[in-house]
Amino acid sequence: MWNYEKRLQYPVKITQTNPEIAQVIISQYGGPDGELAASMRYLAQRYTMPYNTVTGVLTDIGTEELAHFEMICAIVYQLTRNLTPEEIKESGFDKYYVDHTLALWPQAAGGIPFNACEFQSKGDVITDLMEDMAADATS
Amino acid sequence: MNIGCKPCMDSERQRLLLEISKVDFALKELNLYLDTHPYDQQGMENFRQYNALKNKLVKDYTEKYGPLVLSIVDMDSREWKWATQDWPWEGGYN
Repeated sequence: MWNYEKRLQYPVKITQTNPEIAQVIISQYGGPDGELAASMRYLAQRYTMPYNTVTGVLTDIGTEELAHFEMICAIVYQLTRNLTPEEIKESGFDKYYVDHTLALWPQAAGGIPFNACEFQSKGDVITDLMEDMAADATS
Repeated sequence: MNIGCKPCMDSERQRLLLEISKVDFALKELNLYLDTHPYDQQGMENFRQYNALKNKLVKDYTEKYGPLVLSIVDMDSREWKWATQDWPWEGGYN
């Protein structure tokens, strides 16, 4: 089980909105190398990891990644807070807004929805750890 | 575009919260290190010290400003501040 700490891992305080940048940064939430995929990969792989110590690493990193996507979501949320209809249209944020308004939804910058095909879980120690290194070296 | 982080340092509340972040970062790294070095006595001693420090800082913060974790809450208050105070992504103090 998990417990929540009511703080971000590092503070996010954005003073000026910027929907163009938000559309790029959202990939780090729900994109192929995003924090959500990172967290789900570690937390999925840990059950069949045959070494307790390595299961510990997968559990604790998978947990930390949850705090990472919370920071990314805070960034996107603050970059798009209180946008006017004109700002939404001019920035191209309208294509996201039509389906999600200013709510957070995990997708890649190109609009591809998050899905489990972004990561792998094979039950083989070397395969899974290689997959982790390939994924986390990019983000 | 003006993305300022200077306000982070503007108040005692923010300073205390940043201190908690720093100590927790050290704890997280020690946690991961100890997972694969479970008999490292120095590592465990460092973890004990930072853990005690974090608990003290979180207790101080909670008494002054409100809860960060459900295991340390001010039950003398008539208000369930966990839910009434801002959530961390709002860009306020936390």
